[in-house]
This record gives sequence, C-alpha cells and structure tokens, in this order.
Amino acid sequence: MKRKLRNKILHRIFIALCLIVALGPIYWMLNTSLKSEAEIYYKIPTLWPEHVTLDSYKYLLTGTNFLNGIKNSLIIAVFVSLFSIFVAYPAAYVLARLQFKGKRVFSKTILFMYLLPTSVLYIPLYIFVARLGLTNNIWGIMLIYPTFTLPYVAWILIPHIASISSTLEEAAYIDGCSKFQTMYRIIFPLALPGIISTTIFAFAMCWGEYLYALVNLISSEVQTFPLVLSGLIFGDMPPWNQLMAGAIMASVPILIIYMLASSSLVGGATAGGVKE
Amino acid sequence: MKSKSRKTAANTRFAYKINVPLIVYLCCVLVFPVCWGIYISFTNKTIGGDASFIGLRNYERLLKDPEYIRSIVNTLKFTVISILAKTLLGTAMAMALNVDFKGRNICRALLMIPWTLPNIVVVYNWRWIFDANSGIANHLLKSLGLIDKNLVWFGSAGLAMLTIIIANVWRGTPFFGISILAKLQTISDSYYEAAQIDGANALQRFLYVTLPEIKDVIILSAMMSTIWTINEFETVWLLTGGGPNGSTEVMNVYSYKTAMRSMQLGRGIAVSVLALPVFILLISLLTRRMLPEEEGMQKKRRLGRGRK
Repeated sequence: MKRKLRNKILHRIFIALCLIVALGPIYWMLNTSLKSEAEIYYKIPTLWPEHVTLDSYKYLLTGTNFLNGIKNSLIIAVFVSLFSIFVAYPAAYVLARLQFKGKRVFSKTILFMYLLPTSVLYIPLYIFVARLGLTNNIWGIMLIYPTFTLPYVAWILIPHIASISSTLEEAAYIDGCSKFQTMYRIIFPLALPGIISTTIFAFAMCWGEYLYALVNLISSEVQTFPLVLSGLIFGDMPPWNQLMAGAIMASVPILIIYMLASSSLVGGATAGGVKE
Repeated sequence: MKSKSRKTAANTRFAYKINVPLIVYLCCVLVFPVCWGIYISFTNKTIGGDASFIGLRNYERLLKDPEYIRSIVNTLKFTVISILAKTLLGTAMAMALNVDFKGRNICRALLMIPWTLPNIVVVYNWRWIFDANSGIANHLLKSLGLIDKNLVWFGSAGLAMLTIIIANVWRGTPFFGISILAKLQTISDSYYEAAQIDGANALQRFLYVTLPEIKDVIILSAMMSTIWTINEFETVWLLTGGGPNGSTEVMNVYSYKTAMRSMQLGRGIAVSVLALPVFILLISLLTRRMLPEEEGMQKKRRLGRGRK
C-alpha cells in the first residue's frame, strides 16, 4: 500500500514536471509580450510584468507590417488547404475504396512524396517559380505549397474514408448512383469530420512555413508573418516584447483550431502525423 | 471471374481519370522541377546566370570542401542526439499519460501544445530564453546556484549545439508521446496481470510486455522524425545562424548559404542530391512499414504462385 502511494506521488511529480517544461516557455512568451521595452532588459528578469502593458501589441499592429503579413499568410493557407482537399480527396477515395491496377505504386508514390523533405525541393522550386516569373509573388508560393499539402492530405484521408461502412455505398450503387456520385454525395459528407481536421492540419502546415517563403518572397507587401517577425530582429537588442507579441498572435488561432480538432488528432497521430 | 476483371478495368479507368488534376499537378510542380534540379546540379548555374554543363565538378568540390564535411558531421550529431532524446522523453510521457488519473485528458491536451505551435514562434522564444544578458535561462541557473556567471549560449560550440537540440526536442517530443500513447492504450490489461502473477517486477513488465508492443510505433516515429530532423533549417538558421564558427552549421544551412548567399544554385542542389540516397533509404523503409497489409497480401500471392 505504501509503495502504491509512493508510485502515485512520483507519477504526479513527473506529470507536473512535464507540464512545467512544456508550458513554461509559453508562459515566458506571454509574460515578455506584456512588458515594456525597458523592463525586458532588467538585470533580473521579472517573473510577472511590473507594469502590464499592451504597447508591444499596439506597436506591432499599427507601426509594422505584421498585420499585412498575417493577411498574406491567411490568404495563402486558406487557399492552399481548400485547393488541396478538393484535388487530393479523389486520390484518398480510390485508395481507400477501389481495387485497381497500379494501386500499390500509386499509394507508394503518394507516401513517398509526403515524406520527401523540403530541403530536396526548395532550390529546384525556386528556379521553377523564377522561370514562371512568379518570384516575389503570393501566387508563386501558392503554387509551391501544394507540393507538400497534396500528398499529405491524400495520405491522411485514406483511413478516415476506409473507416466508413461500405453498406451505404452498395445501396447507392443498387439505386443507380455512379461512382462519381457515390464519391461526392455519399462518402464526402460522411467523411466530413476527417476532412475538416485534415484541412486544419494542412492549414497549419502552410501557416508557419518559413524556408519557401524566405527564398521566394522578398518585398514587404508580399511577405508572410514569419518573414515579418524575423525582419524585426536587428542589432544587439531586438524588441523581444514585440517579437513575443507577434508569436502569441500567430499562435492563438492555430491553438484554437487544434483544440477543436484534437479528438481526431489523438487517433490520427501515428497514421501519419503532421509534418514538421 | 471475367466480370471481376472487367470491374477492375472499369475501376482502373475511373481511378486515374478522377485523379488527373492531382497527377498532372504533382508531375508539373514536383517531379519535373526535381528532375530539372538534378540536371542543374551538373551545371554551374548561378542566380541570374546561365548554366553550362560541368559534369561532376560540383560534387567533387563539395566532397573536398571541409565546410561541407563539417556540416554533415553536425547534422549527424544534431539528429542522433535529438532523436534519442525525443524517443526517451516521448516514451516516458506516453507511459505517464497511460495511467488513469484525474485531469488526464486536459494534461494530454496541454502537453501537445509545443507540437502545435508554428516552429518559427518556438525558435524565437528559445532565442530569447537563451539570451546571454537578459535571458531567463541564465537567471534560473544562477538562482539555482548552478552557474555564477552568465553563459553566452550562442557563443560556444557545445552550448550552441545544445540550444538547437533543446528547441528541436521540446517541439518534437509530443509527436512521439502521442503516437506511443495511442499504441499503449491498445495493450490489454490481462497481459500485465499475467506478468504480475508470474512475479515480474515493473522493469521486467516494461521490457517483456510493453516494449515489444510499442517497438514498431517507436521505430516508425523515430524514422519519420529523423527525416524531419535532417531536414531542419529554420531552428538552426534563426537560433544560431550556423555559428559560432560553423559549429552548428547543419546540411541545410550549408546548402542555403551556398545557393542563396553565394548564389551557387548548382552546387546548392548538389548538396540535396547527395543527401537523396539517405532520404530514399529511410522513406522506402518507412513505406514498407506503413503499408504492411498489402505487403502481406503480396507475399501470400507470391507464395501461392510458388506452390503452383
């Protein structure tokens, strides 16, 4: 009995430690964003802001290009994730539902493309986009991002579609529905929870993307928020309160939609995870 | 039998017809640029310059460049240590969350947060935490009495490597944790009960009951994470910039500097092409693991053929 109690206490301590390590840095982010520029450079850091101020948020939103960066990121992420769902859904459908020639090669190719890292792709795609005259243009980035979202969406959707019972589909066939109709009118609505959570993950992948944006977007009016944030850093004493305010503002929307989708996240993590 | 093959033929036609947009898109924007890129790695293409064929010269120069070799060594160091740490911590996290306790669901959701944040946000946060003068890391270590002078985290090779590993591990561990946890929850309690009756202690239960069950998912997570970690760019670029003196310059930072700063596009791609065999090996090992069902079916079919 004593041992059981000891184990219980050790377990709670370990959980508490995990929580501190996971959330401490996030608290520090929030804490810094609420401080004045003078206070962040105090000799002894204050664990709670002496004077809570929203100045850094105000300055970021009015005095910098941040809002424009958020707008660009939003346009790109919404467009690319919706595009990816509509183009990749048929692939997931046929891989989950039909027997056809070359199925294995097809699914292998999709998985291969999903796992292929950006480091292999970013220079060739930079040249490709430059040839099309789309460097420094949002459209150039919107052309590039589906190279990772399309295979990702197709791959992640397969188990969601496969888990839907096939009886409804058979009934639809008997009633004279074509494959096309079954795919969009029967299965699509049933797979909607999975489709929505996959769209969210695709959105998140585009939202914080840095390397492609860094290479392709140069002038301030087309930059996404990661580039605007890194643009704030210059000199020896960067305005960390503003940077952290930007970090908080960029994280909150993602956190909210993740929490909403978290039920499917738990089951789906091993099925493919989210690309880093 | 005949109608079945006719059905498959109809399915085949439908499957490819409906996926024309996807196939065309990926061929144009993924396959074609990669093939073109591989060709360019055999030329002296620069940004804004013309390309002429120079054979294997880019590769020869790379392999003779000590900076390139160092970047590969750094990548290996960074990847191996990060993956080991993420595997150990992720397993521990999963085991702790597999115990039933009050508030378990909320703890699980909170522990996932690092993984959901945009990486750029995480990286800047660590850069601020490890700031030499006003960073909280130095302050905490000082008040614990572990150091008496501020450490210049990004100023020495060992510490700089440690910071990029910490940033990577902090964000990557929940992926391992949640993947392993999903598997742990499928292990039946009766296994543990049986082991306990046989007199197995906690360590033995872990080694002989838990570990064999979660081995596959650990390997899978570790391989996926390895691909992502070798591929890491912004964590290093925005945290240390590859410094001090190139001690944290990983492969991607080297390729970025070569291609975008020195404008040697051809040589920059050659760096990626040299890494390609490693990626292909990892990816094909992964695909084999992630498509096990069909693999089994094929094996059966092959066996059947053999018997005939």
